[in-house]
Amino acid sequence: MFERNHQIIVGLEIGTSKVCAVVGELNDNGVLSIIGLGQAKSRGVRKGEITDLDAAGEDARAALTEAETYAGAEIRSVVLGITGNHVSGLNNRGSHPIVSVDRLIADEDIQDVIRNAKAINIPPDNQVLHAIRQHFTVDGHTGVANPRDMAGSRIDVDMHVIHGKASRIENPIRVVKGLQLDVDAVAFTGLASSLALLSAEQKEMGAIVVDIGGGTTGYAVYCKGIIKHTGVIGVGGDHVSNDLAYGLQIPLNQAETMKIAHGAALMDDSVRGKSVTLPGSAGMPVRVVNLENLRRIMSVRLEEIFELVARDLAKHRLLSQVRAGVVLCGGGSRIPGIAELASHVFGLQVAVGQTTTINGLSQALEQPEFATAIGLVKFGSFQARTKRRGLFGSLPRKLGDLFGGKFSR
Amino acid sequence: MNTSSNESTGLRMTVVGIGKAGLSVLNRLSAHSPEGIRFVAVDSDQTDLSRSPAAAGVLLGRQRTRGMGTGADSVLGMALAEEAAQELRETLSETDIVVVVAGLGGGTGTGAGPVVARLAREAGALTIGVAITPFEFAGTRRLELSETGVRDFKAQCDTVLVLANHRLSKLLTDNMTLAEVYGISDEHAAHGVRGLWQLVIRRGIIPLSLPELCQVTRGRHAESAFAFAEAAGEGRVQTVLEKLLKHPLLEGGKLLAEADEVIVSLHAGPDLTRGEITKLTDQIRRAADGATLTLGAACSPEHAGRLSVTLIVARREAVGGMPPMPEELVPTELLSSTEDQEPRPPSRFMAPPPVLLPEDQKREFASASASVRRKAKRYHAEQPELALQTISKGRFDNAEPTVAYGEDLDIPTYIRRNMSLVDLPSLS
Repeated sequence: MFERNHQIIVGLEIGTSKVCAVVGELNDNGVLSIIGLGQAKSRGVRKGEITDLDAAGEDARAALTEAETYAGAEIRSVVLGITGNHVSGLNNRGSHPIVSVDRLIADEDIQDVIRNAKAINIPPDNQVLHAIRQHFTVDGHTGVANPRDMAGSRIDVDMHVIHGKASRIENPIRVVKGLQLDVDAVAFTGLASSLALLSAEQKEMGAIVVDIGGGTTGYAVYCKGIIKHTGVIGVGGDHVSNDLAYGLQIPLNQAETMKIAHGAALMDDSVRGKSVTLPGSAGMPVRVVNLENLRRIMSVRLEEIFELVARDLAKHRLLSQVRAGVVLCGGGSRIPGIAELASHVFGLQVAVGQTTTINGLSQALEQPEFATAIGLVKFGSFQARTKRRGLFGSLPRKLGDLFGGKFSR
Repeated sequence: MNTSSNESTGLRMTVVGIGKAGLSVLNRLSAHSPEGIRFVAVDSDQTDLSRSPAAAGVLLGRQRTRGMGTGADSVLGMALAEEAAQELRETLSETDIVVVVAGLGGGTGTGAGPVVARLAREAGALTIGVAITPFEFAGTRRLELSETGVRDFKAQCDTVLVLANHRLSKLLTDNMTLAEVYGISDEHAAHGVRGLWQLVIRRGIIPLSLPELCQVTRGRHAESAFAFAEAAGEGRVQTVLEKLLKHPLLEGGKLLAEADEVIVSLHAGPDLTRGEITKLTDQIRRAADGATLTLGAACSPEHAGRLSVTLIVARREAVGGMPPMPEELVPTELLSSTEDQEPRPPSRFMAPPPVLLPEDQKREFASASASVRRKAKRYHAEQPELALQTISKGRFDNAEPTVAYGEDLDIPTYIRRNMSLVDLPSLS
């Protein structure tokens, strides 16, 4: 059906509320398009981390089968999304003196400086998920994109390193392996979403992507075309439902339904004094739920999520560098009024993200929930492209791998 | 007449102690009383009242309960106070400021307290409530009762300072006797009243007027709290600061950090220096990040070498907090100024029935059984205000907690921010 040289790349996100698989196709010319989509309700995940391997496996199988049928392609391997409160990002700088006689920077020097920058001090049971090169500095001259063959006596490089607990990163990989599939790569979901949503121009101007998922909220910040900061907070849509269930004294599943039917991110006058009657279930009496309370519980929780993100960004002095604004994605970005609330907290322009950087099924691209899985596909395509280029010998293989970390090309 | 006048401002201040807790605070105050305060004791218990050293005493329920107390029935307490309205009004006349001290959770303090406050306001005095809420061990019923009590007090007073006894539990040890425990609570209340007296009556170098105080504390949803600390001699500023920042009534500085408004009232000898004031206010400002700070300072020769500081903190309603009371439900006393008061004929037996709005009446008609249910619900809505109940984390009970900046994010935000939910309107 497909020509053999069309490569299939599958992004799999085992999320807290749903498992999502997106199938992308990379053609000869290196153009990526989305051709399939599958999803299943997730049962084995809390706060972005797997708590039940069997349930997660079943759900992942369901989503992948659906995607396979949709795309009409066989899935052999996936690019896997990783999230959870244990994941965090940090910036590190490495430096290297240029000792050669002509003071020209050679490939070896570049590799050395990157190796130095990767030598970071993270907890022993943590594993590096990504080490993303930012800009080079040659003799104190900042913002050098490619220092090769430049003259200088000293070269520095900044790296953004995303790391997490090795044992927990292992869990979703085990789920995929249990389905007899290979894992091409793992990627932090907050990073993946930003790959799907941001254009090169937005990255250049400075933008924040906030992915409000079911169990976690991930974020990534770009400035001057490079990734500056990433992070995760273990709070998401699940917490909103839980707060509602607690505050309104209704079962969790009803809270979930109420959240979708009547929820919004802001208090407004339309709900003042209004209430909704819930049908009693399983012999329980009819409950009256005050919409004002629902809104209030919900808006303070969402506001807090944004405040936590804003606080972290302010700590790293990034808010002032962002000019393009904030892009929201994930299931949480569906909440009415969420953009307005975020804009209020961040003091920036806010938009709900749509994937514009890839073509393919509009059904998938227009949904903010799929941004992460689409981003995972894109992440996989970078790796596939560099591999291919490596095979053709346009660059030495080693350098190719090394540049695999730079996504913004 | 035994109304007292103070040389400094000429304002006459009366402290009314209501109920058992109120009386024992009075005892303590009158033991080393600041000059020029008049004390009035109000109780429904003949024996307690007769032991009080207060200048004037009003016994509630002389006929109806024969001076045997209310038996923790706040409705009865309220009715008895209404009955004795004429007598109370006479006692409270010719005074400028009335401080109503009451322990909430019982019958007399909770029921009669707000009535006395209202009468004092009607008599033209500025009224400050000092509400003492029960200790945790007093039981749920008393705690619930005290919650409604605080609300009633807020409706009737110009300003209310809440002394939350449960915050004092850090000061208590296991082998303390009950008398000692209540002694500590009384001592703090007495400090509070003394602090108010200092704040309001003394014409300070940097004066602070009562309207300013009312501005800060009135209409706030979250309780306003106060703390008092004193030190003498070398390094007195540092000592006072340490005491204040660790003060249990401010939850070890936590309330200070959350405060929107802070009033600092200093009282010191004439030797108070600018450096000391700067140091003190700087530190408090740092602790109460983002709050508006109002300073009042007074000096008196007899206070030489000493420094006492009263701190009043209040938190503004959070965004999306309690809706403002609909205008027609606000007690008219709050809206009209204190001048044009037509003395209301005292009701003989019971408090007058509340005025029902047309829609209220419709609601009453619509559901005969609703009143019982509504009452039950109201208690649930009040529950989050009590910091005593353990909070379930629902589906995250067994999960690893998500902690950021010292807060457990799995607990609903509205509970951590101490926001209350509105009452459920009945089915319509």
